[in-house]
This record gives sequence, C-alpha cells and structure tokens, in this order.
Amino acid sequence: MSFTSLQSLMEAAAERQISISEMVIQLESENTGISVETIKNNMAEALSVMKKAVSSGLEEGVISVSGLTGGNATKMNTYRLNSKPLNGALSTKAMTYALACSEINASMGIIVAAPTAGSCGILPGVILACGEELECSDEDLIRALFTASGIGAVIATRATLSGAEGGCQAECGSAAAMAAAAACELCGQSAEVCMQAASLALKNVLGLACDPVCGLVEVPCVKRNGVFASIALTAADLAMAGITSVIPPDEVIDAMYAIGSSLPSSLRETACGGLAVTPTGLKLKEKMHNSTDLTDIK
Amino acid sequence: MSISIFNITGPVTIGPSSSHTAGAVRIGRVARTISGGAIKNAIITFYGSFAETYMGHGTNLAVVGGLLGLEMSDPDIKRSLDIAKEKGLNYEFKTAFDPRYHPNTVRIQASGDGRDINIRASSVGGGAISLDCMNTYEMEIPCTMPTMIIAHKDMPGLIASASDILAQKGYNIGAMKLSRSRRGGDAVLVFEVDTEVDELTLIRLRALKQVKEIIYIPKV
Repeated sequence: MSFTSLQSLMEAAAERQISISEMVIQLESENTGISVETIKNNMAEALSVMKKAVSSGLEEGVISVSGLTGGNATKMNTYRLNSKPLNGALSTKAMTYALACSEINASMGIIVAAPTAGSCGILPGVILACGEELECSDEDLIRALFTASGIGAVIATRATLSGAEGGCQAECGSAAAMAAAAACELCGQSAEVCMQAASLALKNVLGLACDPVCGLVEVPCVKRNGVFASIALTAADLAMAGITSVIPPDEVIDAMYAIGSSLPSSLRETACGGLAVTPTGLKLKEKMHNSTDLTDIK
Repeated sequence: MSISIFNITGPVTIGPSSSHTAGAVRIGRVARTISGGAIKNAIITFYGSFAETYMGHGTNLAVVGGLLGLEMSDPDIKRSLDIAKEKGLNYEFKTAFDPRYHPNTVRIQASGDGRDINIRASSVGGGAISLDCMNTYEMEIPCTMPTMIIAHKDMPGLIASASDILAQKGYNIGAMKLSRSRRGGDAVLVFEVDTEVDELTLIRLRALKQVKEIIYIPKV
C-alpha cells in the first residue's frame, strides 16, 4: 500500500484499528525496510531541529543572506506579549514561531523542509504553539508530525509539493494542510476531522502563485509562513466545529494539481510575474544584479 | 514509486531553498563520490535559475560544501568557501545558458585525488536531484540508491549476464534503464540496486566482454 489517497489511508488505518499516525509509521517501515524504532527516532530528531530553529529565530539580529528580510519574528513576538492582538494567544504564538523558523531559513540556518524549505515555518509554528498552549508531550508532537507527513505524502503522490510545478498553493498550501491536520491530532480528533482540516486549509488557498521577489525564498515567503500558520489553525477550528468540505479531500488535492498545471510559468517560481515584476520588485532585482555585496540590495 | 515520509517532513537541511541550496549540496556530494577522492580544482557552471539567483540562495556555497563532503545539514556550508581555501580546493564559478536544460542545472568539471569528472546535474525540488550527464553519457539518475552505470557495446547478452552476477550475490535491482547511441554502438545500462555492491562483484561485472567501463555511485 502506498500514499495514493487520504481516503485509502484512513480506511487502511480503520481496518488495522490504528490511528493515522500509526498507519503512516507502519507504511514507512513496510516501504523502506527501516525499523519502527528508527523511524520514530528520526522524527524525534526532526522535532528537535524544528525547536532549535524557532528558538534561534527569536533571537535578535537574524537577517537573511540578501538583507531583504529579518526581524519580523521578534517584532511579532514583542507585539503579542505586550498588546491584545486580535488573533488569540495560541494563534499569534504560532505566527511568531512560523516567522522565526522561516527567517532562520532565509539566513541559511538549519531547518526541516516541511515539506519544503520555503514553507518550513508553518508546521513547526503550529505544532510548537499548540504543544505549549495545550501542554503536549514530545511524543504527542511526534505523533502529530507523522499525521502531517502522511497528508503531505498523499499530496506529493497525487499532486505536487513543488512551487515550480504547482505554485505556492503546492508548497505553503500543502504545509498549511499538514499543519491543520497536525493541530487536530494534538486536540485528540478523529482521522476524519484531521483530513477535513487539511482539506479546508488547502481549499482556501487554491490558485496561490509563486512569485518570489528577486527569485529568493524571502519576499513574500517569510511573512507568508506567518500568515499560513494562522490559516492552518482556522481550518482546524472549522473542522473541529464539525464543518466539512463539500468537495472531498482527495478531490481538493486533485483540483490543486489541475489549477497548478493551469498556472502560467510566470507564476510558478520563475520570478517572472506577480510580485517579482512590480516596480519595487524589479528595482530590487536590478540592485541585486549590480551588487557584489548582497546585503546592499534593500 | 512510494515516497518516504522523511522527504516530506525532511530533509534536515541548511536553508534557504530545497532546490537551490539543499539539492545543490547533494549534487556537490555526488560529484565528489563519483570522483572518488578529494577535489582540488573545480569549474562550476550554473545554468538557468541557478545562474540568476545563486548568490542569494547560497547555491555556490552549497555546491562547494558538497564537493568538500559536507552534509546538507552542516552549518559549515555557510563558510564553505573559506574551508575550500583551507583544504586546497580551487574553485571557479561561471554562468551559462542552455534552453534544453532543467532550470536548476549545474555542470561540474573537477579534478583531484580521484578521477577527473565532467558531470551535469539538476536540482528537481525538495532536495532531490537528477544526474543528467556524465562525460558523454546522457542519463537521468536520482542517486537515491546505490547506482551502477555500465558503459558497454550494444550486443546480446549483457543484461542477462550482468543481472545474473548480481542475483548470485542476492543483490536486488530496484530500477533499470538502458539506452544506446545506435544498434551495435555505444550503450549505457544503469542499475539502481537496493544495497551497496561489493568490490568483487564490480570486478566480475567489469570483466564482462561487452563492458567498457563501470562507474559505481554509492548512496550519497
């Protein structure tokens, strides 16, 4: 069996009378021949890297290689701790952590691609914030990561996780779907609710373009990670309220793929459209080409 | 082909880009593995999107880091150019254009303690790569499993003989590709194998009458 659909993943788990996260672990072991214990240790390592990336990203002075981004995580952190944000405590914490991880990525720090480096802040932002606010153990977080990676594996098999192929809906959209399912897992929800959360997250970012300014993984990528942490939590809340997607989850994934194929290449990680070719985007690109010292370009 | 979940929640890598940084490290590592020894001189030519953005993505740092044998999760990649100077690796970066190539393509021409190499590879997303050309042999190898590139003369019996030698030692072939320049001409057989292949088996394969040369790439 492989990760061909969310429906079959759920049915296989139900048949074996195990959770989605357990099903994902067993599938990985069956497909690769690697022991369950090693698989769990590998995910524990990924969690550890995620935690470190978030804490490093909250320190002062984190700035990207190009100088285009930096300092947004600390701004958000100060704001949430010293005012009454419109989004609640958990959501603003998730946004802060997602920004932190994403800024570490842009500064050539070490992260876990989840599913890609450009979207690496969303899943850690959500699970670490939920973990703290809901007092979850590391074992709980690791289980949620397995649920998330099962969702991502189905999207990779059925569609794509690559911005170059499917636009940002495939990268950050998939990350938000993974994070939404993980959040529901941490709240003890059923597999069906986790799938619905994933589907609601992805459905609401369909058509999203990948138009990185100067072709770098910074603008709009860093701040998008912050926004998408909140989208994941919104989708999770909708699903936990019993709200379901009229279009079944696997069909939503298929629609994402079809939409991605219809996107012109100018909106699929070529930096030839959208934000990348705004007057400011073009000015920044010009500066980058003329500058040998990249920190000059802002 | 089934996906490993550690390519979904993973790899652990230096940022900022799965394709332009992590994949570039992997390409450097493959080049070093094929060469079989420390690299002393390397001309690194970036095409397409790599050429446009290599500085902002640290693709240049990543390729050199890979040539030095660093893992993609090694923070030392950020100072790989300094390490290269310390270890006597002379590098040169160039950019070029070829519409036939994948947008994230790099050519590495290198020499050192091992064999001279001239490879072209592309970074296809999520840290995954494709080895597209080695010397004159065109191919498309993901380098995720131990891989044997068997350059031979196109004539009957090679596939049967080679797979028989592997089967005798219990090696399982996961994927196979065969191509030839023309009937009876130069041909390339690529085996991707589940487990690393021992030296004796490689010697037996090299001794086959059809075989010109075998390049073995262990899992990188």
